[in-house]
Amino acid sequence: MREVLFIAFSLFTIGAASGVLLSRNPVYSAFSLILSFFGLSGLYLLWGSTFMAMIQILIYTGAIVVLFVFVVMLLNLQTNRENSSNIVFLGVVSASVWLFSLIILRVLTRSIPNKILEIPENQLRTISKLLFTRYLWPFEILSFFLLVMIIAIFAITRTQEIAHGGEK
Amino acid sequence: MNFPTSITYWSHFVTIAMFALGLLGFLLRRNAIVVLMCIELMLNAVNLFLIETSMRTNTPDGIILVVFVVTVAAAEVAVGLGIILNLYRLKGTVNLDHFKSLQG
Amino acid sequence: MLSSSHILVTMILLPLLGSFLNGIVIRPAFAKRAGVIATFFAASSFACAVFLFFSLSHDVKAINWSTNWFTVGEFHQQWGFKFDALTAVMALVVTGIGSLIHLYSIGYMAEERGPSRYFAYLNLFLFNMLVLIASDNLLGLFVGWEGVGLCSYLLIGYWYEDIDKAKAGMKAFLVNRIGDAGFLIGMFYCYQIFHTIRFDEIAQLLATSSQFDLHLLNIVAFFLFVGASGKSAQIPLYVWLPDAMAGPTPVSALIHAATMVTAGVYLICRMNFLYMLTADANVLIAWIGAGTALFAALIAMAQSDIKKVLAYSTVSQLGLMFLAVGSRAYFAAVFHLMTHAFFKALLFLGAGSVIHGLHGEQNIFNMGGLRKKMPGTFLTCLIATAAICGIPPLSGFFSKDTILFSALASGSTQSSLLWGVALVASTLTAFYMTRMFVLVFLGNYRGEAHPHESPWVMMLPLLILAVGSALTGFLGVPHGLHFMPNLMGHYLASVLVEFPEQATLISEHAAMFVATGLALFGISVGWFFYSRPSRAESAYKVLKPMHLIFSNKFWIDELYGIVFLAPFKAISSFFSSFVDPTVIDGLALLPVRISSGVSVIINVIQSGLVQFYLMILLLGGLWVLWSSLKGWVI
Repeated sequence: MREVLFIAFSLFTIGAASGVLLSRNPVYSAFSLILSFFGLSGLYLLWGSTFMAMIQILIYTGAIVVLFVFVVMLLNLQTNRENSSNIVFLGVVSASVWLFSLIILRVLTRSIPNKILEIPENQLRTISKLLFTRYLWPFEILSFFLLVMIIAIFAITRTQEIAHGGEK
Repeated sequence: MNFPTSITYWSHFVTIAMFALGLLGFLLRRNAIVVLMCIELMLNAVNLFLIETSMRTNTPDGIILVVFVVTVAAAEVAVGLGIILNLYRLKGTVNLDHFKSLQG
Repeated sequence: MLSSSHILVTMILLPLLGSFLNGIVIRPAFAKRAGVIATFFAASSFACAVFLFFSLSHDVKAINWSTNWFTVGEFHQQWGFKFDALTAVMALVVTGIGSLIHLYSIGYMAEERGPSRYFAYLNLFLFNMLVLIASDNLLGLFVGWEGVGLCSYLLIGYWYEDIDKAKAGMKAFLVNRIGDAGFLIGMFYCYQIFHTIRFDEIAQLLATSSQFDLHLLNIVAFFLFVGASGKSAQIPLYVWLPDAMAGPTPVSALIHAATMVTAGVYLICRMNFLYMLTADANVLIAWIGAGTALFAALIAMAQSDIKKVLAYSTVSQLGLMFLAVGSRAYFAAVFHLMTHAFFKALLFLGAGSVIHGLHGEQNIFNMGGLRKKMPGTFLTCLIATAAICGIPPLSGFFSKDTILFSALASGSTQSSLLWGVALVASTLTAFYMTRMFVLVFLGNYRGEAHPHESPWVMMLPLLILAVGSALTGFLGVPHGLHFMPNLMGHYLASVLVEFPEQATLISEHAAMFVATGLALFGISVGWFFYSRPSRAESAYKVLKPMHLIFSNKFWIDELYGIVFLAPFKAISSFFSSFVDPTVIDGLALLPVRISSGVSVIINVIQSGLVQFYLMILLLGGLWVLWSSLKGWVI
């Protein structure tokens, strides 16, 4: 049973990823992205990582793709296809990506030992504990990093007519 | 090459397929926003692999790393979209073919 | 306390100082002021020469002065000057006649706009000529050699606004250059054989050891003669001298009659210890000398420009001097050099006086009857013409007869033939000089200007030179005539080697009679035909083809133009129109073109598109992956 689900979710995810790639409309691309995140979430669940499945849906689909759709709507982009018509470029890129993926595949299939799965309990508790003890440093720096990002976004996207002395 | 027969290795293929698709889209699509989306695809492929490895070897470190990756990805998307907004203000389009001022 | 060697250096440097003052420092605007300065320095140089002449005695054979110049490896070169008997004779002639010509120039160039340049060049010439004759080695001589060539060019092309005159100057310089190439090769050979280029050392080497290859010595002699023939206008390098008449007449008198053209003769006489031994070279020199004498005399017979007649006459007389050195009669050559300096300078200055009096007329067929209008010039030129024809007891008689008899007594198999050629040349000389004299001074005036006598600054040198032309012959009376010892011969015996006379067919007296008789014959023929215009015209009708050949100078200049100049110009134009823009510019621009082409190709990579750059990144990463994981992956 598990294998079937694996295959199903895998194919679903890959199909949605192709949808991102192949859609002319950027909104369609965004929706395909959501679908691929759902597929991924399912795969995480199949692996036993309940925590990450939730995080994936919450943050990725709930915040990031929403942001994408906001910007697409804001810019009112049209649906015309703007791909390059350079066959040589296309060919070279495809070939090199194919080669690259083969190499990586070979690397990956050799490096990980084959082991039986076990689903852990209380994953969230374990992770939280780790975040606040062993990985405290990166955690704090990350929060600082997020603050810096927020300020950076403000600085980048404000327009010049905003009055001095205040951030909008 | 030995192909793995166990199903649990399927996620390697998914990872690589998603990563390759993301790379292809990243290099071939002309719309800047779609390019950012493809970056997200690539990051998610890596997330999948990390989680799989972490669950397989029963170490929580992979999942912690995924937490961080997700956070940074979110921040990066925000900033990237801000930059694309500015580019749109400058040129009126987000077609990457038009941003060639470094040519020559 | 001034020693003689200091006076020697002073003698040489004084004209340089005068040139410097006239040319750079003061630059006077009036001919009189410039001329006075120049003449003062020339005359003081002459005074130094006289002083040095009296310093030489039985004990003091030479006065030396030298200082270091440069050293390259084992070659130590000095600036060395030596004043011995030969230098004394040359210096007295050069500075004495030079000073007279400087004085004359004050009157001749009185209306010039920029006289300071002229007098500066004239003094510079004197300096270089003194360096030439006083040097004790070949290289210093060559410095003076080049210097006089330069001054000749500057002075011939003095009126450079006339392009023909400028071209004449260039022609003189370039033909000289060909001779200089020969000189340099000779000097290099000399150094290779003797490992020195100082005259006294070479003389010593030749005297003491006999291991030198005669063939090599002949080669040295030949190349030095090439240089001499360039400077002294022998066949085939004489073509510059008639064109050099484009310069002012005093220049022609000084440089192309009295001093510079004799530098070649001086060189060979200075190296007489070498030329004594080289029989083959001597044969060549003698024949070229005799041939030039005859050839130039033939051309002079049909010239109508007074200066051209004198120019070819100079070439002819120089040929006689080379005949003398070819016959190893170095004293005869130097003697004739001295007397020729006097009467040829006098002839040129007289011609200048005529030209000046007629306000620029140079065609002898437009002159005549100047005996009454310019009596002073007439009398002095009469003496000079008689001297050049060889009328006793004037100087030309003694010197020319010494040469003729030396040619006859040289002992080579062709001596009689050479003597015959020289005799014919002398007869022709008498003929055309009389022709010129009659046409210029006798009869009635055929021109349109108002001739007048020249001022005293021009007449005084004429007078002094006339006295010299008349009397200097007595300094070198040959042994055959016993009424006076050969003063000059004894004086120069310390430097010039005597070649013993060989047996001859006829005695010296007989040869003298033959020569003088032929000279009188030439004079009478000339007087006969040219005193009445009708006789000249009838003779002209008969001899028209010969006249055509002679008056066109045997078309030698045109021949040189076709054989040498035209191919050279073709090669030059080929190089300048094709080789230079296409090949050389192409080569020079090749790096430019290559880098432009390469950069155009490389610019494809700089597309400005981020995704393109990232693809390159991907390719690079792929390559790194592959090369680092190759063994592990496969």
